[in-house]
This record gives sequence, C-alpha cells and structure tokens, in this order.
Amino acid sequence: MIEISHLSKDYGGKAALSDVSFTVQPGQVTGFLGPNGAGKSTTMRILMGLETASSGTATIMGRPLAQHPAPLRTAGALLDARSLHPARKARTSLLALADSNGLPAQRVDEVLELTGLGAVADKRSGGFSLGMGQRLGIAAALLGDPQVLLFDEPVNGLDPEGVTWVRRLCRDLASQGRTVLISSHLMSEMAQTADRVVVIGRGRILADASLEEFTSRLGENHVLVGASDTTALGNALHAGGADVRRLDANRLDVRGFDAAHVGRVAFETQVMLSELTQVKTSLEDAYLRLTAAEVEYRSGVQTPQPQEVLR
Amino acid sequence: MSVQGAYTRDTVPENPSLAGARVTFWRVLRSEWRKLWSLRSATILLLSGAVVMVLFSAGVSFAIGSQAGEYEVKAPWFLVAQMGGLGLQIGALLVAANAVVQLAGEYTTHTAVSSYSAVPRRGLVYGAKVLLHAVLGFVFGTAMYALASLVSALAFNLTGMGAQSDGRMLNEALISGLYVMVIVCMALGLGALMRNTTGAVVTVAVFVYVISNVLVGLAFMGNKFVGWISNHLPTAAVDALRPSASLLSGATTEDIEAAGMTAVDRLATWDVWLMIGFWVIVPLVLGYVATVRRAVR
Repeated sequence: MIEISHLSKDYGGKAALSDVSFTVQPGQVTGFLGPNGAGKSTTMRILMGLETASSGTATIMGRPLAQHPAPLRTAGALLDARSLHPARKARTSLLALADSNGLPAQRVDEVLELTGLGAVADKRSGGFSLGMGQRLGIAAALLGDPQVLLFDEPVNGLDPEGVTWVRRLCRDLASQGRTVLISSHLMSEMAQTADRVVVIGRGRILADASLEEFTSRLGENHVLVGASDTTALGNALHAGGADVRRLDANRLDVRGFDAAHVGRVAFETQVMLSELTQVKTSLEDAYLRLTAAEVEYRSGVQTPQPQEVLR
Repeated sequence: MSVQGAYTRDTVPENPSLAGARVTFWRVLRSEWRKLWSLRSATILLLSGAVVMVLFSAGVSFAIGSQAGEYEVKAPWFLVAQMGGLGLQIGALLVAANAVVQLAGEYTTHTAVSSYSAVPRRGLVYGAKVLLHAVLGFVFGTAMYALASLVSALAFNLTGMGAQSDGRMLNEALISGLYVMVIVCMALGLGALMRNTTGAVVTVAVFVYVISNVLVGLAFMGNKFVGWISNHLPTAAVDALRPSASLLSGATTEDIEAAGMTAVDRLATWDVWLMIGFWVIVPLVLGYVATVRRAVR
C-alpha cells in the first residue's frame, strides 16, 4: 500500500507538487496519469527516497522506504531505464543490487529469465536496445519480489509483444495482492491495464477514481449516424435537444442522445440509416478533457475538429 | 491515516528463499566490492598506477646507478626510499581517479538511481565506498611503494652501484600507503560534491600537483607565509612523517647537498596528523552531506 499525504515539493520557488494526497491500494493496478511536468516522476522519486519532500509524507507499507530493513523486498521501481551501468554486465548489475539487500544470487537468474534476458545476461547493458534496457530495469524492480511496484513509463521502447507482456505482468502482480502504480502516456494501454486512475496536473490531484467512474463522469458519449437524409434527421434531432454536428455529407455526430433514441427519431422521421454506432468515451478523451487547462508544455499542432455544427 | 501492519506478507505469496534479506553495512560493502571489479576501468587504472611507479623507480635508479657506479659508492637507503616514491604522486592520482569513477560515475551514468533505491540510507553506500577505496588506496600505495623500492635496489645492483637496506623502509612503505589513502579520500569527497568524475579528478590533480608545486617554489623564494601553507598541504604533511625526511633534515648541509637534495622545515608530529585529519575528514564530511541531502538523478 502506498500513502501520499499532503505532499508538497518546491524547486526554487516553483511548486512541483502542491498538497498532493492519495492512496494506492493493493490488489489492483493504479494508473498515475498527467501531462509532462505534472509531478508524476517527482512523486515516485519522493516515494523511493531519491528526493526529499518540502512537506507532507510519502509512505510504503506504512513507513518511509528508508525505514524498511530490506527496501528491495518492500518496493521495486522502474524510474529510469538507464539506471544500471552501461559498462557492467546485466547479471553483474543485478548481483550488486542483490548483494546490498542480502538476496540470493539465484534470484537474479530468476528475474532475468522472467524478463526474457537470460540469453544476454552476461552482455554489457550498454549494448542493449531501448526495449531490452526497459526489461532489465523491470528485472531490477522485481529482484526482491516486492510487495509494491512503481513503474514510470514501463512500456517505452517496447514492441507490441513487450507492451502486452508488461500489461499481463502488472495484472498478474496485482492479482497476487501486490500494490502496482504505473505512470504512462499510452492511454490505450492504460485503459486495458489500470483498475483505477489518479490524475495529476500542475502538481495537484485532479482525479482519483476507478477507471469506469473516471470515463463515465468525464465522458461525453456520442452516436455516429449514417443517414440518407442527414438534414432532415439532423433537424429532428436538434429539435429534440441534441447537439448535432455534420461529419460529412452522409454522417452526423450526435451528442445528448443514446443510439436507441437516435434510432427512434430516425424511424419517426422516416429516414433510412446506414450507420448507427454508440461511441463510449475513451480514457484518452476523458483525460484530455480533464487536463486541457493543466498542460504546461503544449505543442503548436492543433487537432482537427468536426467542421460544421448544426443548430 | 497510516495502517502499518494491515497489509502484511500474508496478502502476497511468500518467497522463502528471500526470507533473510536485510540491508547491512557489510552487505553494502560486498556490493561495492563487486561493482569495483566489474568495471574494466578499475583494473586499467590500478595497473597503470603500478606500472608508472615501478618504471619511474627503475628508470631513474638505473640512470643514477649508471652514472655513480664507477665511484664504487653504495646507494644509501634513503636514496632507495626516494626512488621508490618517484611515481607515487601519479600512482595516487590514478587510484583516486578509480575511486571517483566508482562514486561520481554513478551520477553521470544514472546508476545512482538504482543504487540508492536499493539502499535509501545513502550514508551506508557512501561509507562503504569510502572504506573500500581508502583501504584499497592504502594497500596499493604500500605494496606498490615496496615493489618500486625493491626494483630500485635491483636497478642499483645491476649497475654495480649496490644499495643499502634498512628497516625504516617498511615505515616509508606504510607512509606511502597513507599518502595514497589521503588523496583518495580527498577525491571521494570532491567526487560526491561535484558528482562529476572529470571535474573531481582534475580538481585533485591541480590542487595536489600544480598548486602544491607552485607554492613550494614560492616558499623557496623566501615567503614564509607561503612556506607555511605549502608545508600544510597533503603531500608535504605526509612527507614530514617519512624517516628519510627526518634523516635528511637532521643531516648536515654537505650530506644533503651531496645527495642532491634540499633541506626542508619539518612540521611537528601533532601538526602533521592534524593536517592529515583535515585533508581527509573535511572533504569526506562535505561529500557525505551532499550525498544524503541532495536529490539523486
């Protein structure tokens, strides 16, 4: 279990974290989401004792990590895929970590096999690809068979098979009763992996809810409709109170009505439908809606919007 | 609200093979020992230091012996002692560079993230590194000085000059080990402060080898204050402990000049140890504070 309580962190007058509080329960995968610079990595680093908080507490299993007799047995973290020496063999890097906590050497071989690195264990990690480096970092995190796992962008550089492997690993670890906290920008992957999401923006918690609750509360479900007479249908839907946007000559985007209601209006209006699709809000849409005002470093590229709004 | 103890190992499958896991200083030291010898740089730097010391000693001894051999004079023991220490400064710098690579190199390679995640009580890691490299420096300095002195004596013998032996050579060897240890400790403290391998090594090299020699030169021009400072720098402070130095300072001017050396003022013994303590403890304490208080990246 992870408990963050009124955590704040200032860097030279700039607040990276402001009174952040949330709890990560065991037995489920918690996604830690937020724009770049929101404070996700800072929070994880404070949990691992790599940074000192300005105020507040961050505990793992009830106390700071430094107070646990065997930190690797308590928490394993992938914070930086480069955190093992490139000139050292993979096995040696893990053996050195194992030595420090009194873990047996055989555990090193176990985690190397688990992460698919058994064949390259005696190669220097500087020659690893990005994906192999990520796997090695995950191996280090699993070394102590910890109760708590923190993964910061674990799927960076992984191929689709690797991404699937990480998802299954996280779900498997959570099903064993472990506490799993993952930060990622890959929303589609998080939607399949996380049970719960904590969203942070500009150092403040914006949401802390189950995935279902998060997408339904922030979502704006809509219906895609293909029709022979989009003007007549659009007018009828709009008259009923829906927000209707034309996607192209034969398709409409309807908000405010579900698919059944749209179908009924089409029947009453005697308009033939070629498409009727209920679109549920994705995690990405809900996240973007929530964090729209919290992005500190925004690109200049604007995403295209539906062209015409029927009023 | 903290719920310490509520989520115990009972909720997660037990792993009996890991039951004895615990961080202790000796385990961290063992980890550092493994890290040390896992990098090629350690072997290269230490071997280079050894080769430099032996070759310097052999080369200069051979040259002197070749010149003096015709006079049928045996090389006095303190000359052999001086020859054994000819490459000591370079050897010490190479050993110190190795120590800095092991410490500051963790920050430049981001290895510090995994090291301090595994052992969040950073003082243990820092202490283990200091102990390991200080002892390594002492052993290296002692052993390599002894080897270089032996090679020097052999070189003198080969040229026909011959060499005296003396039990005080053992003290010379141990003091050489102390010198290397002092330089290593200074470098480790600087390495922890700067978190930059090149910066720390260059700073030590400039301070110990450039600034020291400049100050010694200025001292011989008659500036007493500069002379006082130069006497209290690490090299001069440790050298004051050498039996060969005390012998030289007690010898007559003719004896000293016949040996081709210059008499120097000696520090009192308490002053020597105070300076050695200063040059070791101050950098290490500053390095410790930097290690435990600054963020790890």
